[in-house]
Amino acid sequence: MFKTIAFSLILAWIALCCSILAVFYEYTAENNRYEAESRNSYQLRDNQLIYFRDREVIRSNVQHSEMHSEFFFKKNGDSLNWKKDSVFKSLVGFIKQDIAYLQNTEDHKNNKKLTKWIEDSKIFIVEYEKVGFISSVTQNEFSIRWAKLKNLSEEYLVIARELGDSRKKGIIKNRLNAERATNISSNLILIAFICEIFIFGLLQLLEIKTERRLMR
Amino acid sequence: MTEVIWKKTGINEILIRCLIFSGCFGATALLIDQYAIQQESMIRSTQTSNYQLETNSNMLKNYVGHLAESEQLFMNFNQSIVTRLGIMLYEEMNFLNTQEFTENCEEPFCITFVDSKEIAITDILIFIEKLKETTFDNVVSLRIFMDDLEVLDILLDDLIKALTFSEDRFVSSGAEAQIPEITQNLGLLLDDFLSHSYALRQAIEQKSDAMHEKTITERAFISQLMSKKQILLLIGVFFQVLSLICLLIFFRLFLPLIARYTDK
Repeated sequence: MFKTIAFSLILAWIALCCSILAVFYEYTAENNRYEAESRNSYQLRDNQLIYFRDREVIRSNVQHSEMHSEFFFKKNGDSLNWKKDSVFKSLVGFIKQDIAYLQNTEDHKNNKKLTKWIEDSKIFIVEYEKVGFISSVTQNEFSIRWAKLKNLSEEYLVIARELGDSRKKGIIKNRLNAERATNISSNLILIAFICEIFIFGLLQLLEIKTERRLMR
Repeated sequence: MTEVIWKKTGINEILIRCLIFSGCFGATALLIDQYAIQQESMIRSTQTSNYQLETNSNMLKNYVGHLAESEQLFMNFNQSIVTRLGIMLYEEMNFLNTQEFTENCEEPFCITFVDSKEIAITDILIFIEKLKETTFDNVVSLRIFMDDLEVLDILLDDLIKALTFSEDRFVSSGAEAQIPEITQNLGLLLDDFLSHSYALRQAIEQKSDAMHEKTITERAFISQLMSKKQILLLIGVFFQVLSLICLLIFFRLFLPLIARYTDK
């Protein structure tokens, strides 16, 4: 009888340890799921922004070419200057937004490339704002600034894609971790349950034995 | 003495049955709860994968939109290049590209962009390079997540090959190319790009729709699992209550017996 009780107690301890471990693993799994889901929603947002910026870079190339092609406007200084500004404006706007956004992210602290890009972009924005309207600069100055702006935009796209790709790899890792942890947790709970069933069986056996002893 | 009381009343059998039933109901409740716990973990896993699938489907849809915009931009670019080349081709329009035109301009800041065939070709090459880069990088970036998009690789390869072929054609012909030849090459490139991009767009759209359909099926499955889990939990509670009732009956019968035994 004492052996049965001692064995039951060992089983009970195993079941207890299994349930504590199962809670820990389930907590880890849930954390990984949360991490994967939040990274996913960031990814969706960033992907969309990359496409916007991509489109703007291509569009600015088109606008640049259009500026040469619109011969009716070539004669009109105002129209030409308006075109020059419009080529710049959307890309500069995006760079300003990106600086504000990236400065508040963790990526900014860990990525040297990104930090350098933010610094370069800030210098560019200060210079741009000093000039005011880009229309007032000469053709050479315009070409230099245009090349700088295009470089910054393209650099950002490369960095953003790299960040996105590493985030995607992180999501895959999180999902795998969550799956593993949840499987372990389920198995541990199953072991705890089997232990409980054993304990229950042993207790029933003990009860019946005790009843029989009493009846004798 | 106890034996006599027990045998007389036949209460011993009832007591043992009560204990056995209580144990059986308790074990059934445990079993059902265990099954419900397993369902919960399955529900969470399916929910996470469903969310991922939905995000993937949305990302593909966004890319389709982006590709459509790129097509439109290419058409606009083509039009602007053809106009520029047209200005260069027709002598009566050449005054637009000369310095005199700038000098005749009244505003002091009016600076005409002097155009040439070389500048136009450079612009074309920059545009092709940019288009190649973004199309390739974006699809590769999407492929990190989605292993089952092999069909896109073939279509993407075709598109990139078409763009590279045109790029080489422009580079090899260089500045010696005649304006009509450049216009024709650009037209061919646009046709090529549009047909390949359309095929790629269609394949991505189909994939995105298939993913969307799958998310709906998965959601129905999740909802079924959730209702199953709820029913299991309720049944578990029902068995727990039955087990408790049996225990209560056991104590209701057992305690008076003990009391009677201790009184005597």
